[in-house]
Amino acid sequence: MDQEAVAETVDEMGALLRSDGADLRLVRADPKTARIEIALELDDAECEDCVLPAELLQQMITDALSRRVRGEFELVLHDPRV
Amino acid sequence: MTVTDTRATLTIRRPTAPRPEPVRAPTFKLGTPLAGRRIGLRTDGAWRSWVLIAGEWDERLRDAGAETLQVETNAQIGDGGRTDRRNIDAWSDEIDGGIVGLGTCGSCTSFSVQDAVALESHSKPSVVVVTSEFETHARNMASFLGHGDLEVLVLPYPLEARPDDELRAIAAEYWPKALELLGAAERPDRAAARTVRPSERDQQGGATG
Amino acid sequence: MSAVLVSEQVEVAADPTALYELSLAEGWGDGVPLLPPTDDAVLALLDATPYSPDHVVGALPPQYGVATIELVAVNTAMTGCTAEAFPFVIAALEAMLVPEWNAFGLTTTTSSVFAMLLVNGPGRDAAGIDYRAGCMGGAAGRGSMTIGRSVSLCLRNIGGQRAGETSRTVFGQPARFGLCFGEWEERSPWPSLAVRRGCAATDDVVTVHGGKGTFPLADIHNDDPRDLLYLIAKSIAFPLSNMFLSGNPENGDVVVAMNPMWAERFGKAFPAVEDCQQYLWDHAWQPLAVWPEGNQQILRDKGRVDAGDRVRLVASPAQIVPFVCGGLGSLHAVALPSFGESQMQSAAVLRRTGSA
Repeated sequence: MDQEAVAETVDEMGALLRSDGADLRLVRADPKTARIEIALELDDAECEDCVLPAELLQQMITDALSRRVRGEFELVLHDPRV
Repeated sequence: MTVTDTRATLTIRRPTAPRPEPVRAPTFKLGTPLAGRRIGLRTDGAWRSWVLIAGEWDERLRDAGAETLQVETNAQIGDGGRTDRRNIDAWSDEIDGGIVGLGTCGSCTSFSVQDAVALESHSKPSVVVVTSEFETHARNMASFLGHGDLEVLVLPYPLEARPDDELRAIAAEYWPKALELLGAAERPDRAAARTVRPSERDQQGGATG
Repeated sequence: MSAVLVSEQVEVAADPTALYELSLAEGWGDGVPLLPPTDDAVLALLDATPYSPDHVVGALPPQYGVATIELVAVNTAMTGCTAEAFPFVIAALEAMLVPEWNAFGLTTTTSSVFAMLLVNGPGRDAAGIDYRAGCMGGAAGRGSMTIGRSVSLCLRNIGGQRAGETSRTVFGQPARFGLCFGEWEERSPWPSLAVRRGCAATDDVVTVHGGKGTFPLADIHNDDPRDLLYLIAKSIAFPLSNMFLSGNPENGDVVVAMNPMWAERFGKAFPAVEDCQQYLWDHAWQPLAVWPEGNQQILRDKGRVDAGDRVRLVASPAQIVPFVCGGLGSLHAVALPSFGESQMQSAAVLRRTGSA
């Protein structure tokens, strides 16, 4: 698992959320389990509902990672709204 | 232009195991009439056809004055398998000759041959019974186990699903061959004849043997 | 390494197809192109094992050819197996030669059964053993594709097992080319198969299962772990399973390969794997009435029918063996049905000290 590619993707996707005061933090990308754990941070978000809906956000991050990460992986998104 | 040197060769190692010269363990014949001898029958819990045929031969053996000793095997491995192989060993010690069946699938043929070989290794006359589809396999396995001259009695195939009356007819038809392979010095007429049991006498309308 | 090789030498044209043609003509190929087992290739493999070339692994049935380490290496060299992976081949053969695996029966039966190699340990990745998506075919890991094939060639060329000749297998199966895959231990909620069988987690272990084929199971409707396990249990207890032919239900193992997503759910419902096995066993049966009358009587005669007219697949829960592997697409499990008269055996992989 290309850790650098994962980190870059998380940063790119996080940039899309920063205008709403949200961000993404890479918790862990474990090649042994093929799990990528990302946390949605909403501490500075004035309006949680203004941030992309959970399901759509999960799908967008998955798609972005699929383009950069070779092989299967499982995305675990820690979304405090869910 | 590419020029290929057609004379180039490689030296490789042959991947097959050397086959040793076949060992042919001695075989044995009963050499006497059946009366007074103890003949063993090995059945396998898997095949009802063989249980029936062996039962028919058991009666014929006793009719001829032999004592019979049956042993049934049921397992290839585990506690059951170990017990079975010990039982075959003990059975082989106690009898004067034996008939082992039935080989009518791959592994059951292998194990029937193995048990027949065990008997022959006790210097006893030994016959393995297989169906025709598995004759070559039985002879191969006997050879691989160093007993290439093991006597093989071949019954018709398929056998298992035949009705009881057909199986009894096959038992009667192949009985003389079984005696021949065992080396029992029975008179041909005595080999074919057998006491008619009361139940059969009833069916035959009172005819006596 | 300064080993002296003793196997017969053969001169073959350097043309790549010449070796292939020779293997077909002389019957020691498996129908697929082979690499030349030159001395360099063989010696490179021998360098990876602590065994001497003349060490005898055992006599392989059905023809009881003597499997020396050298001869095993010659066959392995033909597959392109790496030196890193060669010790796995040896371990597999050692496991198969344990009497309770019943190589004598399995190499000659009419059944499709063949050795399926299940691998555990930290060396899976380095050896190229697949345990994720496509692990039973398609992932194309070098270790998976060559270790299984090496074992298969050993059975053919050393043991003399040939379908239609010394092996009476009616159909064979794809695993006869070689099937070797690993457990995705990091995604399993339970201890690995090797650890459950008494091996150390730090050991690389090959467990050899006499499997009749790969039996695919699928569900797209139900996420409930108990429901899924119930359906798996009913599926593996199919009426024509070899386990229902036998009067010895205590012999034989049924492997249930579970994808990691299902395994996670199963692990939450059954944190102890023994409880999962118990649940599977509780439901792995068929009512006697499923079978025709003639078969019913045979099952009764063999003592396979309980007081409730149920016929259980196996005698104990331990004989149903979970193994976590496969991809993340969920939805599927694969059963590896049992031959019956064979118990899976495990052997640790031994490497020469100083080898990777």
